[in-house]
Amino acid sequence: MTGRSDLSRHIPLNAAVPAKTFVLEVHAVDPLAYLHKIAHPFKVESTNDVFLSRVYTEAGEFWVDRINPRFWTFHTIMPSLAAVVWLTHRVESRRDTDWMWLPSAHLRNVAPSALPHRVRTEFSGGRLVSPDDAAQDLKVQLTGSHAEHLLDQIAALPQYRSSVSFNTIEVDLADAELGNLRESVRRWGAFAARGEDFAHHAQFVRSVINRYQRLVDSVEAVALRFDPLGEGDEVGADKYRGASFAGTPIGIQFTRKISDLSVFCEELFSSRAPFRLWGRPVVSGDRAIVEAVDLHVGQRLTMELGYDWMRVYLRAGSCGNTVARLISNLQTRFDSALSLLQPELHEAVALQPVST
Amino acid sequence: MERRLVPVNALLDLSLADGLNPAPLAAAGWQVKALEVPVRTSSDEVWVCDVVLFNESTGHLLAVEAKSGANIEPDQGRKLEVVDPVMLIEAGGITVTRDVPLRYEALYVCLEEHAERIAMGVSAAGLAVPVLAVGEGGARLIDPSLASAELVAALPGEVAWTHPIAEIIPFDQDSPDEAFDQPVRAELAAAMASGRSSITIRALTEQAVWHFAIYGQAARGRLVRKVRGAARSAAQAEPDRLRFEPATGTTEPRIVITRSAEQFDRRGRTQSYQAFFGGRTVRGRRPTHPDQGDLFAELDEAERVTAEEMGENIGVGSDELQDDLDSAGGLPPATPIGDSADTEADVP
Repeated sequence: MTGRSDLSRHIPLNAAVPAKTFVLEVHAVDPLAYLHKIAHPFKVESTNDVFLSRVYTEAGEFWVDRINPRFWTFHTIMPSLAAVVWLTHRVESRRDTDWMWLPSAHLRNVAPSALPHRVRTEFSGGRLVSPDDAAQDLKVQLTGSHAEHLLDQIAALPQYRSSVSFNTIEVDLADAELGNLRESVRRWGAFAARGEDFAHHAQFVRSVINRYQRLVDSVEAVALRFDPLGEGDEVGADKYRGASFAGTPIGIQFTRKISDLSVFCEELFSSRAPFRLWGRPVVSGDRAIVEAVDLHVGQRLTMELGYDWMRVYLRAGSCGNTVARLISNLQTRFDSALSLLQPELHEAVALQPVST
Repeated sequence: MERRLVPVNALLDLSLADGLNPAPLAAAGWQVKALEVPVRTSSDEVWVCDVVLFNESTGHLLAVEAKSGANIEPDQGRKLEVVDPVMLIEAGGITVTRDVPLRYEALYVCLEEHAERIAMGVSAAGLAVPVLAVGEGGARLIDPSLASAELVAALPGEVAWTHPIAEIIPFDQDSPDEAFDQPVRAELAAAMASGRSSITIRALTEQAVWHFAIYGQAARGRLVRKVRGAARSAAQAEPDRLRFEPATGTTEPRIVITRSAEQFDRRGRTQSYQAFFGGRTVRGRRPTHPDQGDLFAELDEAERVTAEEMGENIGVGSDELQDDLDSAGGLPPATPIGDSADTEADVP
């Protein structure tokens, strides 16, 4: 039997093939049973650590860490393609599992003490951005010390500020105790690492997860909640006492205008990836309202849009990852500089307080 | 939004800081605590308070009566004037976090077009209850002299709407049948996406009407009937996918999903959802015009293969971490692998 301390041996950071870690957001009442279910028909082996399991697939093995019951990490040294295909199949075939969708700022500021070595931004406006816009598509990749500075410069230009969305960042971390580490992070929660100490990598991943979880928790904290004050549900015995209320809609401000609200809504609610939102928008004048369904998780959310704003109504019990994914995808497809209007949410997304 | 639901939603919007419309009541410290709360008054009668707001710092309770019409009922007005704050705290199940004296204030909220008449009714009944009028452009206190200093300070003049009023209560049991179509259809799509094979009308109602909990038995019964009607209509609109089954001796009425979009592969699934309730024509693949296509990338693949044959190290197994993940496609796996009816937009 093995334990957590053996991970550095099984997931070496100094081998020819980089170590990879993928983060999945999971809703499971019985996490171990759920792992067996999603791994089926592959073998799941327990370790001495109750949260750590070894999953054998045809292409290699995953070390699955469930110590955070909601955000599981899948460590592996198998080829990336095989690992991603295996995980994608699991995520796509279920409604209780999703990726971790990092907002652009979570990548831009992935580790404040680290030296960014390589960055890539990808913005694909497609049908959401007008062909007349100065930047309908913008992809930049740069390798070099403090590679992020060029992108900051581009983002400082008003005509491009909405189109600089961090997709990948590679950083170097040097620590006297933990050693050197190079991490490449993708916006859907995939990490590739090379270095000296697995624990250094694991802690780096954990810090990114913790930051992201604060965002998801903040979103869920403002979900609309109507809880009955009495027991009015009993037929024939009206003990109705009204309901307590908590929550607020989530306001989003765009920095670019939607050129055609109908076309925008048709695209956003087309059920297509990456948004995978179903809905039949009702557009009236300068406003659209839609009862949407997040097909990733099979949950309804109501959305209201104007030309430069959006209001999202999330019901208590819904998954905050839905809003995190929406933000990340809007940053990649429509407005990388969008902002959430509630200070706590803004800070959780942008990792900085609202500027005054 | 139906006009009669504007007053209650406007009051909620003024109290919920979503960052779009101004929220002066929230800024002054009031929080919405409960809705539709029956409270026993000092005259030993029961009044159902539409919205209860509480300022935890000052102990100031604001009890709101939202009027959709142009008249007030003097009897009701007298009830809402005589509520013991402790009684309202009890009724609303409100947690008092600070040891401060509790104070109570009632407030009418109405439509601007009815404000004058409501104010006259308040005056005629000898009530000292302020009136907040909600118009297309904003909201204002009609006679600030009737309001507390704190309320006047929060609402010193007209609060202008910068955005449409948020729809926290988008419909109720008196709404027209059509108001239930979109939420019911969305919940049926959600049930389909969740892999459910059926959903009872009762469960569908609780899902479709998020604020179901605020209503009493009679209103709930009407809501269930409205949702049942919308569900029937949905099944008629999608006869190949949905079936309405009335109640039997042993089962509740329900909607059965007879053919789910989830049974298809990824592309078929997307197309199936796009066609659900027929709102959108599924676009076929656009014909290729000689001038169309990504000329910029036309030679990329040839260049890549040539480079590999020439032995240049550009791919998997290189020293670069980024290249390693690139081999997996480089984008969220849910994004690029053809999960689209019109993959042109999705595949990078």
